[in-house]
Amino acid sequence: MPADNPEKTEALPSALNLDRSAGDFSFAEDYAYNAGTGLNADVVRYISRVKDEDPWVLDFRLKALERFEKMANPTHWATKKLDDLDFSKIRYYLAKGEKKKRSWDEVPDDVKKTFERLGVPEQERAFLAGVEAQFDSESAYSNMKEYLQKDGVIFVDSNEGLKKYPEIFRKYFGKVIPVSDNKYSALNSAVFSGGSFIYVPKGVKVAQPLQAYFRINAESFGQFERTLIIADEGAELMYMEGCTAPRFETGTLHSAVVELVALKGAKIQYVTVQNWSNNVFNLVTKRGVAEEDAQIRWIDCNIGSGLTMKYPAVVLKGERARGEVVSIAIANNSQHQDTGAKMIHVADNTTSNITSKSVSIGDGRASYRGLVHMTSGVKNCKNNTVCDALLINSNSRTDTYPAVVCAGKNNSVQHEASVSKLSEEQIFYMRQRGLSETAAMSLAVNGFVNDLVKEFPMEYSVELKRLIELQMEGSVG
Amino acid sequence: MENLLLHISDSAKKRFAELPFPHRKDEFWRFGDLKSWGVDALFPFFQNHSGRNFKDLKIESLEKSLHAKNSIVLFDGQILFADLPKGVKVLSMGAAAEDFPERVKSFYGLADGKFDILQASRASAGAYVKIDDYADVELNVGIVSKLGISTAGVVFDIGRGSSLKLNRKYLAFGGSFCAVHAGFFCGEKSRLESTSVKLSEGGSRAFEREDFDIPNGVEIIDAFAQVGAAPSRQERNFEIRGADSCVDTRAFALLRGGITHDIRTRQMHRAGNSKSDLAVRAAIFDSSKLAFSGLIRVEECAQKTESYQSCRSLLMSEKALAQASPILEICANDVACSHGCTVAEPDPEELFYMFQRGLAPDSAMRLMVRSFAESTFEKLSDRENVEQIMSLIF
Repeated sequence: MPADNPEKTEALPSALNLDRSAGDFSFAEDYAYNAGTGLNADVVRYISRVKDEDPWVLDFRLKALERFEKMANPTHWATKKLDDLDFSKIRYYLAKGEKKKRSWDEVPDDVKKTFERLGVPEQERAFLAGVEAQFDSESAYSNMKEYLQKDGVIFVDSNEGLKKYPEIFRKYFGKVIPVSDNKYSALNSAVFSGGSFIYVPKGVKVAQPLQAYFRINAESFGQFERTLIIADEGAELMYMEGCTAPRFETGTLHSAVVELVALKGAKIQYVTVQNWSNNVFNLVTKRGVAEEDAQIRWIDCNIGSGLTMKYPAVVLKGERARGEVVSIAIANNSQHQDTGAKMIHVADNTTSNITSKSVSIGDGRASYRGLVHMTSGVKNCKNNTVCDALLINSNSRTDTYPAVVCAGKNNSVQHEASVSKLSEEQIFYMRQRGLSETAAMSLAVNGFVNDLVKEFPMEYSVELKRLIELQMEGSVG
Repeated sequence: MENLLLHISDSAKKRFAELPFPHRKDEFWRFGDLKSWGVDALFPFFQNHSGRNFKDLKIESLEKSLHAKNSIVLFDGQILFADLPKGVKVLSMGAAAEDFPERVKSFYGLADGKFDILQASRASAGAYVKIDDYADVELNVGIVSKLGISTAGVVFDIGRGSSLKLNRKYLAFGGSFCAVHAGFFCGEKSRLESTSVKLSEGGSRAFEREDFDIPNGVEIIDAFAQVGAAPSRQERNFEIRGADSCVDTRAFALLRGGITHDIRTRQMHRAGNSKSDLAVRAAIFDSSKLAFSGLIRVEECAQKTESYQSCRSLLMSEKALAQASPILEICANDVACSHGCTVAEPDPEELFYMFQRGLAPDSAMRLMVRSFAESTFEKLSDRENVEQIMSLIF
């Protein structure tokens, strides 16, 4: 039996703090499946049973749980805040037990209203090739434009992928990020639910972006989606994910694992806009493998959460592969954005680029943590890393923890980091022209990140600018 | 005050036993050669069984040259020779514990790593060098290590408004584990121009820690060169706790013979309006490895700080490896801080240019490395001394 009355669900007060931002609301809990509070082997079996999984998946989950229990928090290099996470107080699986819908009209009212308020159906109509919307543990809606289905593109949630396409899924599942990669990848492997599975066949170029939206509605809950994206030879796609949660009194955990595989000549762009509420621990492992002539780009924006630890990585496995990380982090009061990038060069003539910009507001802390590794035996590899930090208030903090390991022949690595503050002259200039101090600062911050914001799809970049303006409210003084 | 040293030694012995040897999860040893600094590798030194298997003629001739005018020589932690200029006093640690107990206590209080604590456990080994207020002196210091475990603590107590030109030479002979801890307590408005060369013979281990305590108005120009065929580690901490101070510190390492050289630096800004600039350069031959980690930390109260750091590695062989981790921790917003790090091979165009002009590959390479090293010493006023150092290195 899972811990703590698994089948029993409790209602929570609805509509919390609606005025702060678009994502800060929730609906009453009404779950048919609840694995209860705390984590043990029974919880893992319960999740696997509810999902009606094959025995090998349960076996995989149980082994991962064993690894998770043995591994310690990496507090020898990471923040001690991780120790605040109490795994015995988190609920690991909550689902309404309804089948995923292909039309928004069939989606339950409260879930539909949630995504309508977040503007997801509207975006789908306007510019997306497909959408998957995950509500707590399970996907509530998934749809893709017909022409893509005809091309053989697969865009389903991970559990469906596991069942319907085992021959592709199993081949790559857990191969890019092994179970024991870190404590949180082991945790995800034990209790994963939801996430996207995408396969783009050879030579197919998906012109419009595919989008997933991850929503946490319940308090003291952990969302553990697992995403696997495979772009076959010469294929191209852009995937976007957005994340929100309401603000609760207790902490919430989001611990995803995202694996990307770009086969020969393929291109994958993975765009994230993370706007979790400030009580969310966002501990995510993201890694891609780029084969010969392939390209992987992580475009990442972290605005929300209390603590984010996320270091998107690219393993440049094939010759002439290219990896890129573009990252924006905004750390407001009491937030710690510990983000970065990893580039592992294991083939000749590979190149990588990392551009990171962070803004720290109030007592917020933004950290860049990165690794560029060129193993011995590789040649003609290049990396360029640039980290810029902007500090708004006198008590703001920024850190840079890069690591460079370089051997081999004719390889070169460059790393630069700089720290600056808002220019008083700029602010004065804008104030003279009638802008309030907040508006002037917000404009200056937007200017600081502008060249990276342009890398996001247009609809996202407009939203991003608005989010940054929101973050700047109350930062003066 | 012999009791003070006894107390320091006893508590250090206890801490040494408690502290683990460097391990994988110790961030301060990240990328370090843990095998060379582990208990198994160091055991023969503690047993004094290591022996001198390599003979480096350069180190032997250098040892002979140490006994010169205006010089102090420490042999395995004991003062062997002292010819002092006016304005300088040298005391044994025992005598210093009598005359300057607080300073001695604060010096040993700095020890917090496994090997500087090992040095503190032999608190009487070393010397206390006192520079008078407003003195203007030049001093040579030689530290020779030959015993299985050879430790020395050296305190430089630099008087207010004084100016010290310091030339140091560290010689670690084969078979010796050498742990040196130097503390520079600078007086206000003092000036320190320091050059150091460390030669470690094959079969030795050379650990060295330096702490600089920097109050108001201090100027430090410092250049350090590491040459040798033995695993070595260097920790340099700059505690800037006063305004209007300026630190320019540079290090160069020439690594050969498959060894790992470890450099750890900290630029700690605890007061505003000061400046620090740190540059590390390494030319890495054979299968040698550089492990560098440098931290710039600016506290909230240290507004108007300027702090820079750079690490440039030249890979001279396909098997050479450079590992660098330049770290910034900035808690104040009105500062200018940056770090840069590059790893690359010699520029083929530059080499081609030299070959065209008739230089043999070896000479061209040497010239290139020499020019790469020269910027480390460019700020030093004593060019004759710089030439001597360069001839030692190449």
